[in-house]
Amino acid sequence: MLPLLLAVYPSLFLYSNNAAITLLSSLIRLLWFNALLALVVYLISLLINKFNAWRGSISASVFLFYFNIYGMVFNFLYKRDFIRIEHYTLLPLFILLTFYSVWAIVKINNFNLHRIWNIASFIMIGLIIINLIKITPAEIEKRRDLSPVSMPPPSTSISRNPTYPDIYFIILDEFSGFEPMREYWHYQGVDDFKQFLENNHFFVAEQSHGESQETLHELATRLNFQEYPCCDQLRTYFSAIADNRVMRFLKTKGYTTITFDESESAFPTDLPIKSDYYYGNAPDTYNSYTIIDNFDKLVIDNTMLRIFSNLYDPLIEFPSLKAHIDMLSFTLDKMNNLEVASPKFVYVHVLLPHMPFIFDSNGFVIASYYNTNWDDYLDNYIYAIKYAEKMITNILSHADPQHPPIIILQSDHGARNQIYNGNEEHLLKNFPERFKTSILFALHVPGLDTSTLPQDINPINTFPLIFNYLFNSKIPMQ
Amino acid sequence: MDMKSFLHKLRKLTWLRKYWFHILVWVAMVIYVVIAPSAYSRFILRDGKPVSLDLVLPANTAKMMYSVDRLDPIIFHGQNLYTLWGWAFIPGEADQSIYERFIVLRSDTKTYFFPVVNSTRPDVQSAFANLHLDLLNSGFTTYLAKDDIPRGSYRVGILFRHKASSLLKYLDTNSIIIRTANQLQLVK
Repeated sequence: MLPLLLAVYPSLFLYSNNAAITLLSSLIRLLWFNALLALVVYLISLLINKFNAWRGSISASVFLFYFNIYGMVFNFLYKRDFIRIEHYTLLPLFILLTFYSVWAIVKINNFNLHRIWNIASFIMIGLIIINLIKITPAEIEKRRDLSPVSMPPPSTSISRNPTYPDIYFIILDEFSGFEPMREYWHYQGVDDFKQFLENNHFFVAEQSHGESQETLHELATRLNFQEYPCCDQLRTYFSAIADNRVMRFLKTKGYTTITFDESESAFPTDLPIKSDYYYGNAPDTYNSYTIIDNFDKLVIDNTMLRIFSNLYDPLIEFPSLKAHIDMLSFTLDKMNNLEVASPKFVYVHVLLPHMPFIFDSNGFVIASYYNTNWDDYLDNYIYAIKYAEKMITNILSHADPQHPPIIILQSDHGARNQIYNGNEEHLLKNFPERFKTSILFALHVPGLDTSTLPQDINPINTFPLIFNYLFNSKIPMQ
Repeated sequence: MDMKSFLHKLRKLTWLRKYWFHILVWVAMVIYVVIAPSAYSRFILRDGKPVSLDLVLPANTAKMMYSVDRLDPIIFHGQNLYTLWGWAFIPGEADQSIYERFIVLRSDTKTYFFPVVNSTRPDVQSAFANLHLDLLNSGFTTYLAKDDIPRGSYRVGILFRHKASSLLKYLDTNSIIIRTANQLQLVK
């Protein structure tokens, strides 16, 4: 039993710390793998120890201990960067250490061996119980969140008012406001983009800032026009976004709601938004490509299997990059061909110019890996501008001139310059903190007098502003 | 004391007699850890290695336009390498293709030459449209293996060698590559 406990413990520990954003199915898959590994190691150990069960168990456990910490030790030494670390030197050293540890332990007499076995088992059972206790409430909460989410049928009972305009709420994730682009990147192309927006009768607020740097917090806040505690309240945000006030309100006005949302790729446990039509991925792409996921990587990276990271990393990165690229194309195409009667509310959240920075400024894929180098942010930003321009041009060209649409073009936060996998050299140097919340805020609301809107408008007021104008809702502004 | 008596005395040490095999194993392991990186570099590593050029670097020539853009880690044919990206050309030279280019990494004591692969840079072409030169292939990428470079700081240089006359033109850039225990870092 001890080898089994040691084999499953790392997976349970890491899952308990990431339960909010990891699927239970990922854990179960890994636990099967862990159990199989423990069985194989135990049988080999039993054979070597001439079928002495105690010694076999202890030997297997020692091996699994070293097996499970190899990746952590490698990572620690590699990051410290004071000694050269390579798998071809560290792994043989580790295996030798394992043999010697096993050799030393099996020399202990049977009585003491039993005591060690009992104490180790007791400790491992205790640790596993602690982790199960941590996991259980998170799983119960996930189940509770999931149970009410059923897609309502397209609106039929509420009478439509075809004079209401279509509303498009487009979020470009990590799209910086214009000021940082001019000051930090010295990129003057934002002026052309602003000109494009103004030529299409957009109001552009240049000094708008989000309250936080968290996507889910920002989306929950704007879609419910109410403050939420910041930050890391994932379950709260998931629920608030999935069943949000904006869509509920618009349903009462006869709107059909359509969602294109890439959140799921960043947060596998995210709840699908309750809308009439929901697209979390481009059809037939993501699931068919996925073999192992990021949680598998998190666990495997800590073990001796890390030596195969060159092989398994592409298995994770390629499917997610492919799904991302497919979703961007799909969203652009599908928005153009929505066979849905007006009025409709279209919510679009795309991870552009969000990491991974895989595009050049023309949208060609330049990185076949999860590129985290912030030096490439600008190219992805330029592509995001082109993507947004194409989206807006499409919407306006397909719109009914008698009932022009409302378009809200925003970002959740600015360029956050976040570190990924400890690669500090990929960060921007001297990037001001205040730029991280600088957002894109552009409104196309035909008929609305925007001359009095402030340049530092709080994005929480987006929908109150529009609903008050359209429906005289008298929602207080903040 | 001769060798024979020395060995005789050694044999009399009981702990050594008892554990000679283990000592041998650990000594072998230490030797392996010490020589493995050189063996890897010599026998296994195939790409990102410097080439040997029998030449003396000329003094800096100011007549060169360049940019050393970035240095990215990359897995190439299963090897952990780095790719150095940038562009460089010689103003006033109508046909840039008559030169082959090398990236030079130079410390106080060592100089390494790395061959480059040309890459297309329409952005450079349009940025220098007023020069009326064909600069489409002015981009370069170079694979660098950290394993072949001792620790230290290296000034990045760009060397142009005339394919026919072997005339050399060289420029030290403002970029430095630092080789630490486990990484290469580009400092501009």
